Amino acid sequence: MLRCLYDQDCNIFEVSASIYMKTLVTEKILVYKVRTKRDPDAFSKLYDFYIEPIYRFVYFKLSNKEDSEDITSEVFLKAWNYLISEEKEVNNFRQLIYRIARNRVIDVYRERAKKSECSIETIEIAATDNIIHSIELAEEKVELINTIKKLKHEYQEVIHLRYVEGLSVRDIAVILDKKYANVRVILHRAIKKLKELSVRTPN
Amino acid sequence: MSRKFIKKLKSIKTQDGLLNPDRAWVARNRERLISDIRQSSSSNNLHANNKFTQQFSKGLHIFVSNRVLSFARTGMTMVLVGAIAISGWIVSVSASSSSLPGEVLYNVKMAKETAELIVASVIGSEEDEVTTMLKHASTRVDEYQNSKSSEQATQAIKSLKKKIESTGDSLAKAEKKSSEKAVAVAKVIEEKTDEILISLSEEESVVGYINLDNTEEENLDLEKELSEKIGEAEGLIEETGIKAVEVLIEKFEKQEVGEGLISKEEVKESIAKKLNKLVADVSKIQETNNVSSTTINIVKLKTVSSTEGIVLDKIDSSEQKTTENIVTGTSEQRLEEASNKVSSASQKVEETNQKVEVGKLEVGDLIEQNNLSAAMDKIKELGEVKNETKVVVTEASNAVINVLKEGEAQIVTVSTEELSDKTASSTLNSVIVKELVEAGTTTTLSN
Repeated sequence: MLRCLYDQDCNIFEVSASIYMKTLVTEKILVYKVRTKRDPDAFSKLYDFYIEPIYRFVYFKLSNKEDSEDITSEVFLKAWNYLISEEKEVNNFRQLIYRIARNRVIDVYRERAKKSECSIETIEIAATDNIIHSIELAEEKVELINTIKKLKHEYQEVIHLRYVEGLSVRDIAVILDKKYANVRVILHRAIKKLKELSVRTPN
Repeated sequence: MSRKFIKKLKSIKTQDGLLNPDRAWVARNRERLISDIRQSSSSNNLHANNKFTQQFSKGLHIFVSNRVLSFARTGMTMVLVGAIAISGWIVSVSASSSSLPGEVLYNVKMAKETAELIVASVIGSEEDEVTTMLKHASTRVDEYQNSKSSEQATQAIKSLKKKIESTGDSLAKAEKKSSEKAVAVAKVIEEKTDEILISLSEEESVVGYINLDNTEEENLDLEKELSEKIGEAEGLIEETGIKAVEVLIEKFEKQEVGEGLISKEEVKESIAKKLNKLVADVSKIQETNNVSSTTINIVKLKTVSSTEGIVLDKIDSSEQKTTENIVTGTSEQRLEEASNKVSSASQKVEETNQKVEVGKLEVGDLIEQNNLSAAMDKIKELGEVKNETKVVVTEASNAVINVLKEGEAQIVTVSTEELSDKTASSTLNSVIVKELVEAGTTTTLSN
């Protein structure tokens, strides 16, 4: 079975389970160093590992470069503060940082909704529309993104995390604060819907 | 989902453009973040004082998931609770092994035995179950021998009887199930009942002691009840042992089991053991009667009127096995009655001896002729004669004790060696001691 990993240049590549486990252990060691010794160097390695995925995740939701950069910085600072906090337990850094990112994005939606005096869903739709126009992507990729964006927000999220970022169903369940079985069901439905929409689309 | 689709999705993020962050920004942001962190770390300076336990705890939570930790915590708690309970149980069970009826830990001992029996019946065979029952029966005999009061002894004997009855029931059940099981169970019963009878009949100075100076009727009644119970228990054990041998004979003669399970030699040996036991019992009865006979004869010789008593000097009372004050002053009538009983008993013993001698030869012949059932029947017949004789001898012995009691005498169990070592200060005492030694008595008159 292959797993997805990112190198320091944020290139994604598939690896065997043993390498994945080794990387996971390395990540845990880095987290341990941050927790016990408040080692900035260990945290910088974690930063290198997750900066692009988190930025991509945030940008996919906000569709604004400046906002995405600010939010991503905030996410990592929050992650640092969380790690050094003695009261809080940390089992999985990946789940933690994605959760922080998602929660921060939701906060932004709320702030925008408050300012614009409209619903969060409206803000979400507006954000995703921007992606399509602003990203210079190959035509087929544009089509694909268009199709994905026609899905429910919940479906978009799981497809993004699962197939774009390569997270496991278990990680997604923790990030979205849902049960494992629920996420599998949502994923299944999302894929089914995406297929239906893709078939209807001429190309 | 098709591979093409997945590949397309993945390819989204590899696209240069706004979907991925600007690399310059990444580097700049990194520097700023780490700088802020270093500053905040140096100003707080908290991390230096982390204790090892705290570090270990944090490490544990990072490397082991919460779910595993909670399972492990629950599991460890249950293991510890179980270990404490078991260790406490082990301590109390091991401490209870020497407890006697009525003591605090005796119930623990009983519970342990019940558990052993349940395990044997569920996991083991019928043979294992019966072995366990008889092991517990042996424990009852030990309790009886170590008992510190008549109540404890009586309780132990009652429990012994129940165990033997259960053993008999198990044999009956095994017979209904299969011949092989019946033979296996019968062999165990035959062997163990012999051992139990030997243990039961072992003379202990504690049990043999009857203090006739003790005028409390209640204690004497208890002693009498105990004697009766012991007699009943011995009879039941014998009966069960004989029943077991009969089962072996029956299964062998009907060839219901193979030679591997029970052979002719084994059956013959079982019969021979029963015969030898019978002969030994008769010999013991004779010995008891001899003591009664000798004692009553001595008393008859030395009887004085009730108004005049010969008081002997007390030998050091700290020696429990010495004859102390013997004062005779019994009525002639009672003496006569006791003497008659002893005579009848002696006659009965003589007859029994003759029957047993003849019976031995008959049984031998029957065994030679392979008529094993008839041999066993003969032994049973002789056993009944033995029991009748025992009753008569016991009555005679009791009559002698009553005579001595009336004369306020104390009789203790002494061995021949002890008797011969005694130096009595009075003429009468020395005569009685001498004559008892000459009679070769070693048993208490209470038997």
